[in-house]
Amino acid sequence: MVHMLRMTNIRKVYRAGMLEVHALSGLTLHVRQGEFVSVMGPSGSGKTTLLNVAGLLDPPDSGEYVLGGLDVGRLSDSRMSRIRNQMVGFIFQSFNLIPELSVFDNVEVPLRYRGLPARERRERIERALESVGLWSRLHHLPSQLSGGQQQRVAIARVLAGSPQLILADEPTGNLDSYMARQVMDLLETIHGGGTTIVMVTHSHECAARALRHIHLLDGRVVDLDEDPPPRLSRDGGR
Amino acid sequence: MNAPHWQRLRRFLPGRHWPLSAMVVAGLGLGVSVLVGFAAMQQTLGGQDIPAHADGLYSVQLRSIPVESDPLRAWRLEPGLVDVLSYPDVTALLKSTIPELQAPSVAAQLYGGLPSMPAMPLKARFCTQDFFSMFGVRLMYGGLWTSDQEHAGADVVIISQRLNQDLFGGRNSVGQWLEIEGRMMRVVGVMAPFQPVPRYYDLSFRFFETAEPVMVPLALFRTLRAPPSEIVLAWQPHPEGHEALLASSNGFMQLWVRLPSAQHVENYRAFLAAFRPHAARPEWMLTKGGNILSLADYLASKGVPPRESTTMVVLSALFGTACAINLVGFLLARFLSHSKEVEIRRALGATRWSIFFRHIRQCLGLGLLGGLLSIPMAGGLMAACNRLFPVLSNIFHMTAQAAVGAVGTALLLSILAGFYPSLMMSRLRPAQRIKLQ
Repeated sequence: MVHMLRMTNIRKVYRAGMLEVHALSGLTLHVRQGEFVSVMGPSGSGKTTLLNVAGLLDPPDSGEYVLGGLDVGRLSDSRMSRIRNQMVGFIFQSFNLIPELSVFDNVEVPLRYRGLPARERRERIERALESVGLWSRLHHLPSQLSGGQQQRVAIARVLAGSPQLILADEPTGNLDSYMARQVMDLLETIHGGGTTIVMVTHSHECAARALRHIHLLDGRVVDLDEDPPPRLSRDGGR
Repeated sequence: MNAPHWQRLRRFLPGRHWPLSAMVVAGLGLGVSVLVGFAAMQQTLGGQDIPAHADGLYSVQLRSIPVESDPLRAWRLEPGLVDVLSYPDVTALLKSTIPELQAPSVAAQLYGGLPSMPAMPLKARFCTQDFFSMFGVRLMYGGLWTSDQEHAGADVVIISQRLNQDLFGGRNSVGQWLEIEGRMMRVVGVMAPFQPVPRYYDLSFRFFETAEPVMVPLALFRTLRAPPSEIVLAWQPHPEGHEALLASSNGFMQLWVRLPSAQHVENYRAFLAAFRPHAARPEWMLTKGGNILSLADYLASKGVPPRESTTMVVLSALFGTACAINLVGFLLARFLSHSKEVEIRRALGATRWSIFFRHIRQCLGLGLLGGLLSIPMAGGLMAACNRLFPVLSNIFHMTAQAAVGAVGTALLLSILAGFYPSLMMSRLRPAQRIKLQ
């Protein structure tokens, strides 16, 4: 099966003055197309850094990274931006919507960078917002929405771009259990459509919805688990 | 369905932290208004408003003073030459057939008005028909006096639009009578507004001087016995009586000629070089020759534009630069306050260039507002300066050209000031703030 991302011996060090933090220490990870992978690990284990590197938000210091069959280690900034825009969708714990923009405009942002014509943008936005049940909130500002609704807008922003890979960083971290389940249901639906998802989470409940589980410790993959972890409870959010 | 237009318009302007945006706009408005205001005033003072028909105009100057005894040589282009000529010299010069047009004139203070009213002081210029065509004076009512009237010194006048307003309520006054110096004089024409700044056809006395409201045929200068109101260059004791003044070598007249080609210029220069003053002069003054100065050289010789106004433009340019430098800090603070949004956009696929141009676009939006604000501010500055020169009413005014210049300058300054902050924003790493969530 074709790999969506193939990271080999990836290292990433953050430096602040004399202090060095080894966020990723020779991480190797292969994710096949269409997989739904959860990434767990204690705080500081490198989960978010892994997503940042995987999503081309942060370049690795060393190692080989092939995304969608393309070696992305030596790409220009504009090329990486284009790949981010067309192949990757991000879902963040804090939603990261732009507060001055309406729901419509927030979803439109990545489509504008893709240079799609206005009509196609509008169609995609309408479809995406319908699929997350927020069509009626088109002109609302993020501050007028609940946390769950904001995360659904963020998911609509991803859906509108039809990415091959979704990187979700604690997507339910700021939500109550009811909202969390709704978001996870949405992610499962998206995954059902063939999209590859890599999700960082602290929640065993959420991790249980993934098909493969990875544990990170000190910037390395310490356990590749093909089976889901034991489910604590159906409602046990995080 | 699409977002409302006003929401889209907001993208051009930073919406949050409006006090910072307001300071940027106010700073730009202030800097640009001072710069553009003084530049526009400099343009006015520099005679840039002198119309295109002024090409080919030359001021006639005669060598009336021996070079070695010229007390004023320091501020002349050529020592010994003066542009204030005597009546006999002008009369002799007018016999030349080289110029296309010749406009001798002299300013005088007359007294008169409507016959039914007490006489009031009236500034007048004695001139010929050529004066009007040479300096582009248009008439709103009536026409010029005829050649016969000019030669005969007929009792006719052409008055300014403003005097026509004061005396006749603005209606067509052609055919009406004025009593000037005890003579009944008929109005044959009313000038359209004519207020060249500076009054370039006669800068012999004061830099700021209004155009005369009454124009009288030159031949009447002898008849009316009006003493010249402006400078009289006297190299001998002032003669007693008007006729003696006319016969003397004392200078009080201007002579302008229009020379349509380089050949005409050359010929007229040769004519002047051989010209011998006609007025009776003291033995030590006997000298010959003269020259012509183009309008541009004439203005330069008279200190146009004034050095003070040039200094003010330089200072205002420095002030505008200081404002622009301060804007860099304001813009940086303004942009950094929404750095998280930039990182979100980068994560969603924005390139560095698109972030850079997005911020430059915001700078242009602020620059546009600053430019628009600077227009009334510069207008206010000019109005304040107008009060400093009460001799002329409202010589400085905001023109469409100055307004466009203000907006253009503000846009340019906003780009220059916004370049570094925009570059900084484009270099933000997308994961920096998002990672910390």
